[in-house]
Amino acid sequence: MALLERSAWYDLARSTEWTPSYISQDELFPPEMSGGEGIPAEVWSTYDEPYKVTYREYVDVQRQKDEGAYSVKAALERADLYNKADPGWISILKEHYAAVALVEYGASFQEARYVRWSKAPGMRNMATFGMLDEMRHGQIQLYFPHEYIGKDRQFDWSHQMMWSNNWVALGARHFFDDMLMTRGAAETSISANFAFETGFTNLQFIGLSGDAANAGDFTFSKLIQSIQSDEARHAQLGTPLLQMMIENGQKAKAQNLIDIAFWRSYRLFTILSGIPMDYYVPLEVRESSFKEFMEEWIVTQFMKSIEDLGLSKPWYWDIFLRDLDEHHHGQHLGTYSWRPTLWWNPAAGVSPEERDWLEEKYPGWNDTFGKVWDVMIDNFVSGRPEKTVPGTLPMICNVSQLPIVGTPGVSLKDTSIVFEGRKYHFASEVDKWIFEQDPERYKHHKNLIDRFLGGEIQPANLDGVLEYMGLGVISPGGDDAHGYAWLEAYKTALAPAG
Amino acid sequence: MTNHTPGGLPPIADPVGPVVQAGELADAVAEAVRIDNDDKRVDVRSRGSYVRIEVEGGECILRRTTIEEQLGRPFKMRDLEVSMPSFVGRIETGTEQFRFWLGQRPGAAQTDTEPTTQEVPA
Repeated sequence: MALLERSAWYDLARSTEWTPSYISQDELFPPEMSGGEGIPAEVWSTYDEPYKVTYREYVDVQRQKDEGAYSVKAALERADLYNKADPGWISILKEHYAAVALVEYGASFQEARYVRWSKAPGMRNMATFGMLDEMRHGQIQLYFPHEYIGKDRQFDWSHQMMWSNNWVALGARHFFDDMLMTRGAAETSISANFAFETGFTNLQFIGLSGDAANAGDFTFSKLIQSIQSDEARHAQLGTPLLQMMIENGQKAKAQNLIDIAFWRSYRLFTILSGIPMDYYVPLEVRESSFKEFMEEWIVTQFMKSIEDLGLSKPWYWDIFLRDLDEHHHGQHLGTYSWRPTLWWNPAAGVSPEERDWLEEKYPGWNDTFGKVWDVMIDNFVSGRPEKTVPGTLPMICNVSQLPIVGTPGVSLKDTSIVFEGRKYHFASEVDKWIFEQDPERYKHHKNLIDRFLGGEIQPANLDGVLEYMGLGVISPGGDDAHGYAWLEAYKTALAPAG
Repeated sequence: MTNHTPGGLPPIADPVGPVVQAGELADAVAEAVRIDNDDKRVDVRSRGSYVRIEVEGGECILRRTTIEEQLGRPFKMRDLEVSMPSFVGRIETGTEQFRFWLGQRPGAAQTDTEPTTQEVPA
């Protein structure tokens, strides 16, 4: 049967649009749900999605994607990756699935809100596919780790994490609620589709796929690239909205939304991608450092997309570039030290050879972060392991919800303000600036330390905090991925002469 | 990063084009991009599990028939999505060709004159 070319009928078919006569436009599209205030009514129908696809095409392509990913998994299930891969790699899988699977399912609600509330008919049509994409991502990333649960209870976090009060969950929920769930459809699309998906998800879902293939985990490599091929399509939802805002005198608002989402996304990915790429991926299979992947995907590719729309680099660009050498190293020190609070077993990643690599990729690492590791290693080697786990809690940022870290002796400081009688702490000037953009939005949230000091966590000691965070409940907490075997090189080196 | 380009050339100006999962299709697409944009510099950078195919000057054309010739079998443009986790630039997706492009070409006049009133902390 002869089919019309898509372009011959697409514009007519996509636009389910009419003028309401029984209710007002604002009742059909309430401003708090639809967003995009100030854009004239007639402009919305001009929204022209750049990445066009029909339902017939969508179903055909998605079937191929699933077939590819599931067949690689089926073929390799007997390869016994769990026992054969480096334990550091297994930790990456645990962190990834827990941090991502349910968040992706949540993103299907984000897309569903566009389907109902977006004032642009073309966007409602494309978002329908985006909604189905995110359901697929939720389901497939619950199914893939399921084969490991029988071997390792920490994989149960894949399904449990987002319902827990683990500190990473508090950070992730705060971020995704802010970016995906609680703004109007137009504003959400700029934060989530443009900044988060066009920019940052590439880092984890494409960057890490090379490391996965090198590590022999072809299942994961195939899976995450398959997911990102959906993202590449529905991430395009935000671009026409940005153009519409800019053309209708809202450039400053667009820039503001991007500046907030960019920093928040970056900080989240220091934990999700930064630590694994530079410390957990086995040294011999590392494709690039976190900073190099950031330079490839964000500093070069994503910045070009921002500037191509006539927008600018975020105002904190210099702070950001400096931060690339610091923040995730500090977070790794923190997460490794507080390893009982993790649902995965962190790799230290600081053997002599790994330190050489770190020094090459981040000149000066040995003189800063390395010095802190020297103390930790000395405590391990001298039989004082208890001194390597802090007995107190770290300061936590009231925006990112992540521990406040920095380069020892250089940039480690608390930035705080008092707002309506309450003191808020921030991990950087940028986090503070984000809070100040909309204090009403952020002021009620309590971070882990606020909850602890407010008596919400009982018993008010480290054991109580661990239980509150689901450790020892959902699974045992984290311990060194390699059973401290990496310390052998230091025991030899530090052994008394003679 | 393997930011060095083939032949040690400086990075190309205003690159656009697809990022494709390494494999048969990536090779065919890379060759098709060279053919369909034969008046421009094309860089193909292997990054392990993916290949960056970038055309200079802010426009990259990729035709279905050229991919078919390279693959030696029928190909539907929509199937590129299966193996394309990202792309550089903006996109237009047709049934006969994809186009990757930049809106702000080098030297193009800025059309937007609205000043940015971004507040920067003191």
